[in-house]
Amino acid sequence: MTRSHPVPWLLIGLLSFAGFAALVPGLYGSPRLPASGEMEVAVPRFAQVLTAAGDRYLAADLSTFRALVASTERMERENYRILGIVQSDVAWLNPAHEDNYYIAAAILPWNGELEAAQHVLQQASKARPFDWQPAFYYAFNTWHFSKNAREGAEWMKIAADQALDEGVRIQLLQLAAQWAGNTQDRAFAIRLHKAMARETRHRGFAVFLEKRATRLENLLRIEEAVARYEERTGRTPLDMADLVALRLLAEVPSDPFAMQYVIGRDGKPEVVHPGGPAQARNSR
Amino acid sequence: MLQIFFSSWRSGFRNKTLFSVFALGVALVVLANLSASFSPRQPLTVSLDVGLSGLRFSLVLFSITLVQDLVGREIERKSVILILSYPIPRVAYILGRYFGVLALTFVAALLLGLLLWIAVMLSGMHYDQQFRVSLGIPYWAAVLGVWLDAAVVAAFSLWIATLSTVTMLPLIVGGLFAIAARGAGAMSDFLAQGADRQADLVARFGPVFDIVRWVLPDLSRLDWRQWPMYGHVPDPTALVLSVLSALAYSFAMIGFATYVFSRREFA
Repeated sequence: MTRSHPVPWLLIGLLSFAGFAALVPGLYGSPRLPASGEMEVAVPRFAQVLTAAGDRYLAADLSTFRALVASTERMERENYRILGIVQSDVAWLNPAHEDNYYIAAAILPWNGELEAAQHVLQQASKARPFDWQPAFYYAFNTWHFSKNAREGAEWMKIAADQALDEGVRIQLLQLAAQWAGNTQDRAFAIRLHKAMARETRHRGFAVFLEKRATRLENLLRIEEAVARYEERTGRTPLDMADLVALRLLAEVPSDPFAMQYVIGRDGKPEVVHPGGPAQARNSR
Repeated sequence: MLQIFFSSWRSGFRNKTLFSVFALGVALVVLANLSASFSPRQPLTVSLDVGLSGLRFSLVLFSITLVQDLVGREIERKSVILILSYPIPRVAYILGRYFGVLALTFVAALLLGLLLWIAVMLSGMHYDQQFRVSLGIPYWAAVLGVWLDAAVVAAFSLWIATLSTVTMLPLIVGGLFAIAARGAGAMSDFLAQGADRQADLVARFGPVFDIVRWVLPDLSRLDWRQWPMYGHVPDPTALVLSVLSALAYSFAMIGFATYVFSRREFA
């Protein structure tokens, strides 16, 4: 092989580089293609695993980074739907991913993607038995968005079961009890309170729960008496004395929290502070 | 066999490509540390997660590069004839090379594992994460799983190297094998759970994966990172089965490699 003279090659190199440099201002001045917006595509799960070299955990991390850096200020309804799919995919790739459920709880239900958020949280709750928060967010979403206090109370109890700290556990049980007490399903609420009282190691809190169960039992008895009163007389009782007079109740039940039971205008029993006509209503 | 094992060992340390792959592993560990900043609540876990993915990637690349260099290139350059002129059985050559690759990969796994351990510890310095990761026995068990994964891929690549007449083939086919064997478990799991209600996908790919599981090992079973990351201790039966399955598959590949190598004409 003969050796070529090096100088012309150096000149060619320098000239080409000068040409490249001359093109730079024009290139930077010309418009770019519009950058892809936030969350416009959801990649199929097959492709996600393959592009992460067959590593599902890495695929989960990459998708979570994507969800984290998505700018929600510019997102619209369809973009949130895609975000819901992306986060549901992560819940399959690595259901225990803490950031994924946290982002899902913070963004999705507030933007119309309740179902996706609940799916992510349910998977996280199963995969993280040591973490009460996925079940807590699930409970909150059920109560707040679906207006289902009963199911919310059930999930709040699951959250309490998953709490390792006794203080947190008690707070969660209190919330569960409060929500269960607000449901119209008294029998369920009574069962939940009694179960929670049995399960807590905190004696004082167990007593509180047992008292709430007693109050709920009282309210249930009054409700049943009101229903029978209406059957017999065809009208709504005015006060508790009407029920005792007809022997539908042996006596007016005493409230374990020293409150008073009255019959509201709609014929439903209510718990009020004793004394004072403007009795402050308490939870039922 | 011992001489071949030690010659593999020496060649490994002299090889510049291997140092590049090792440097890539170090870079991936650094990347794992940086990735922690993308996590709002679990920087330690994300750092460990990304780091173990980096370790899996670089260790497999390390092992198949070694196979290609120690076996593929020797066959291509015919320098293998020189070794075979010694009065040793051909199986000694295959086993010596394979165990050499395993030993070098083990050292790389320990070094990269130690670096990752430091990187993860550093990534948690500025945030008190609620759920800590376990960097003791669970962590080193996960690193051992990554090494076993690389050992299976190395055995497969060794078989390909004995068959191949193209130098790059063990590297390329070994890489594709690693991706397929790691992803197959996840995909099979996805299809088994109804493929997110996509019946057509199950109908199309279900039968394919039913066949694939008999020829491709499920390397995702050797990924035990849930233990250090979330405290999920692997099921003992599944753990033993996955290790036995990996060993059996590796022995099968070594058996095929020895068969092909023993019959091959190098003149």
